Amino acid sequence: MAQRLKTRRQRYGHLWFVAPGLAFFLAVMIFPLVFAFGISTTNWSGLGNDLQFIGLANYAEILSYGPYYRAAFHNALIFLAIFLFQHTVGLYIAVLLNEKPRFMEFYRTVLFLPVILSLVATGFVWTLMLSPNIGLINPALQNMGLGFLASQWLSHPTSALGAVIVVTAWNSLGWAIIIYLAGLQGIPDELKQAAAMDGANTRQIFWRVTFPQLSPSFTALSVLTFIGTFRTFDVVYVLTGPLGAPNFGTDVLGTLIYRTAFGASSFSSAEIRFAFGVAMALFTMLIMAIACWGLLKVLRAREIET
Amino acid sequence: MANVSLKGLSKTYSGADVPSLSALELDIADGEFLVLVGPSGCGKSTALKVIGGLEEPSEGSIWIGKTDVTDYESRDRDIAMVFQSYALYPHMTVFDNIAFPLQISKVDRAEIDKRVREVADTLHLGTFLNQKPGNLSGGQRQRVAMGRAIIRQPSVFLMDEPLSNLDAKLRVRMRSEIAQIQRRLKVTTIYVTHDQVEAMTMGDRVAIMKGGLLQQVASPDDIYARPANTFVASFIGSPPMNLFRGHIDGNIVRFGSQSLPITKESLTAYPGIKDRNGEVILGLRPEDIEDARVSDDAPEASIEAEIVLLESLGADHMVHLALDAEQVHDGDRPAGDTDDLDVVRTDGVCICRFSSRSPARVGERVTARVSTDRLHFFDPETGLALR
Amino acid sequence: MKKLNRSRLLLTSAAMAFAATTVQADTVLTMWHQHPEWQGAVQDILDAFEAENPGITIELEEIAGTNYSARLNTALAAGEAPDLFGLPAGPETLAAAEAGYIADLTGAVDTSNLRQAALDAIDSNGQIWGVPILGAYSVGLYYHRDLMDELGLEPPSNQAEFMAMCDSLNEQGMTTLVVPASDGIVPSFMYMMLTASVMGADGFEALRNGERSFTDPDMVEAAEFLQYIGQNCLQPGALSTPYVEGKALAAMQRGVMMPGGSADYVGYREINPNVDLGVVPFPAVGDNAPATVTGLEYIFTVNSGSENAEAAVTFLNWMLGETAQQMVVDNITMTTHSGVIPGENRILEEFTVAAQSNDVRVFYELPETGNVWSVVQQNIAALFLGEMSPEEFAQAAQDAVILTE
Repeated sequence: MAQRLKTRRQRYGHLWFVAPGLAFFLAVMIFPLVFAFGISTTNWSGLGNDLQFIGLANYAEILSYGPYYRAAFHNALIFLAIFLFQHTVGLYIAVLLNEKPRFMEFYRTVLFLPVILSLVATGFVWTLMLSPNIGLINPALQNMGLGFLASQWLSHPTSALGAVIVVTAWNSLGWAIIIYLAGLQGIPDELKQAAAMDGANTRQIFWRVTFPQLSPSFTALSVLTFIGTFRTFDVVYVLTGPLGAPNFGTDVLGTLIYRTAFGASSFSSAEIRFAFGVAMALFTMLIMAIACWGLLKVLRAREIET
Repeated sequence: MANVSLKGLSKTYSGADVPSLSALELDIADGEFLVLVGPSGCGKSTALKVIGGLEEPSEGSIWIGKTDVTDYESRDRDIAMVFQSYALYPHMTVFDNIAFPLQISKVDRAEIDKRVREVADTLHLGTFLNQKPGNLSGGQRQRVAMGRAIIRQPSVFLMDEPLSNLDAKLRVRMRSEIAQIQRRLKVTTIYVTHDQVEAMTMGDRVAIMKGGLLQQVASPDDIYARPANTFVASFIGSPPMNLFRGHIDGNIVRFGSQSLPITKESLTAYPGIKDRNGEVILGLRPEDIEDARVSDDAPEASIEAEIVLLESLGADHMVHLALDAEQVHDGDRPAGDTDDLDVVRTDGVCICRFSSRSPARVGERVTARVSTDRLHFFDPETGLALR
Repeated sequence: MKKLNRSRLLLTSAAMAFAATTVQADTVLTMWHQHPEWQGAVQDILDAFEAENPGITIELEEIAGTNYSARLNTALAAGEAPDLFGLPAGPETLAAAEAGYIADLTGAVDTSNLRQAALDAIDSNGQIWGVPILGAYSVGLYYHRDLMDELGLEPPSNQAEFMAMCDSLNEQGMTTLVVPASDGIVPSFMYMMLTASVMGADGFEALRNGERSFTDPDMVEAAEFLQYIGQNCLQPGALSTPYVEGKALAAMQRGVMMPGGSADYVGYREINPNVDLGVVPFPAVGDNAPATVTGLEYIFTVNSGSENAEAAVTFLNWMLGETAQQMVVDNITMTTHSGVIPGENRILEEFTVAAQSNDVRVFYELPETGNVWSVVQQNIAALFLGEMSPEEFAQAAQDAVILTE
């Protein structure tokens, strides 16, 4: 008996060392998740103690809830646009920087700067710049003789979503550059020299030798972009408000969930449905987890083993 | 197949005060195996990169066959290169790595397949074709790199220290494999190394460089027997040639309290010492000095000194004799480098290779026989051989 | 003399003992309010209160309107709401009462000085859950007097005049009306005023009884007029103009007129001290009488979980008194106190005059139309963009009406 106890202690004793971390993880991750799931199975509005258990009815409702699809579609558009932008412009700038131009440190800092700025602050600055009344962009276009391009950027659903994309792209370009630059700097010069010796021209060297080596960067960036764009909230909130103005043209999952759970009107909380908001948040989390898993599986498969 | 001519080739990197390569003149015959050797920073790798088109020369021109390729891109020079790191494409299989140059030049698929398999057979890589380089051993990777170079049947091979990442045993084996392949393919080869053993064993000719300057180009035997200057003399040979400041007095050369006769052979090999009375640098190879007790014959010439250190290597003993002569250092030991064990006794240590039959012991005084037909003489001002 | 001295001594010591206990048990009341632009004026009133009530300190936190309800609701659910907080009168306050978040103030607060309309607004079947301590507001149409003079224009009172003015100003490249429409709040007030001009106060009651509808043909005209204004008469990018920017544009004469409330004047003056404004009711649909809407500023409720409920009630009663209300009317907005006469405040007088035309209570204070507000707010952009017809817009508003019978 004592022998058995001892062995058990020897075998599992080390687990005590992870206990504090585990307790913390349980307290701030698992418990809130379980609690949130509990809430999502009720019809709690967020006010008072009046609630009933309604099972998975909230989740069933999501499936036929138009605004959810509309918001998710906007997220998907933002993701696609940012994805393309980062893997083209971001990669291209990273390649240019990797040639170690003069003032490289300067360029790198300037290009990375937006990343460390608060999205709320950048969003606010962009709102000011895009304003047709006090903004900089329309007068600038006019002065360049491109006055016909001037627009009420945030007042049309399409261009407003475009503006959200531009601001997000501007803000996240630094990540793409840094991640790709790190990838590029990990590729030995000799590989490119070898390819040049083997008869490859610059383009062939890039596509057949350099680019395949960047697949870990590609994977990391794609997954980060996916998560980041489907979590978009602050840019939209600052640029077009919690209603995803105009006429929900920029409504994303983040603002929809926020509005449903907390409300967006200072005069009425009639449409607040906290439990439904929580259900949408958890449902989104689940879908994103599955999508990320799939994305990683597909992308990892084409990565190189070393 | 082609010969390679380097005409006044110079390279100064931007920001550098000193050229990495100055006015290199070198003709490499068709099918020749030339080894470029020298200490690190001597310009040998720069020379290789310039020849390969990976660096642009500051001056001079490169000819391959009858074509001036100085302004050609690497890919247009018909050159293959083996890198020190092998530079294999980690995302491609061994097959694709070897096939890459052919795929780039859009060779027919069946032809590629045939040639890759031929090359793989030659290099014993047949079973690894579907593996990625990450799964291969160092020696296998080295062979893949070779395979990629030879599959194109280029006019020139460039090899940049291809064996330096291998362990000693494998290095010996690959050394002969590469030499054999080169001899079979008869492709003009320029091989860069810092290892004098590779240089001596592999090259048809050896070019020794130092500080961007070519010191001597000759066959390995010539280099060894007739070094052009004190640098070459002390760079080739292990342990290096002992160099002492000496004085020629008629037909005797004195160094410290020792003296040796100048023989007919010396006069033939170094005509510059004829009628030269005065300062010289005397060179003695360790293997030309032997314990006098090993042979019964009375030595015709000898030195006598105390043994300060004895390293037994089994087949022979490395014996350090304390001499009162002033020692001269050249070669890969820059002035001021005190990273040597014998730094305290630096002046006047003569290393000798005694046969294992020698009963020499540390601390005793020995008489060492010197093969006076193999003395070397250099100008004390210029360091050049007195020919 | 001796006797007097003795009693004075007793009194003094008693007072000192009282003071000592109250100093020891100094009560701190926390208070949330949603008008950061009033912070200074409100703080002055609080200072006056603290001077008169040495035992009680008020800690005021002003939270911008856009974040206020989300923060308050979260704090309420978490049990961390302040002792005193503002809520819109009507359904919102009632919902909080039903949820058990706020204390019943019936009988505890002295409402005898409230004007009847204000009392009606906070009285729910004889119960009082919150009181208007920071006044009431009317919403009408501000116009730049100097600018109108320069242009030789009179403020429009009906649809035809407004549209003519809009056309002529458009030709001159000027903006008729500055409206921050990105959050839909100001256009919703416009819709209330337009429908109010059609139905009047009686019609509003009929609408709440189900006898009238937003989809009645004359009421649809209100939505049509609103759409016309939204598409033709606003500053560029109105749909993306945030509230604060709109207010600044209006004050800086980037448009000739702007819809606004009686409490907005303070803000206009702050942005542009030289602003020269006049107020009229909002132009009517067709030939109806132009209308204003009136509502209470957020009324203040006491947290049912507050440990300082007594002090909070003391505070509310003091705020309902003459001293506080005089400060409200002089510095902030219209008072709900029947006995307080506004000092020299031309704008408030003009609002009073304007409200005599056709004044209707704001929709959100009444249970039947509480939801209409948020539906209108959310559909405004669609109406302006032409993605929703006036008929559809009116239908959506009508669908949000809750008929109790």
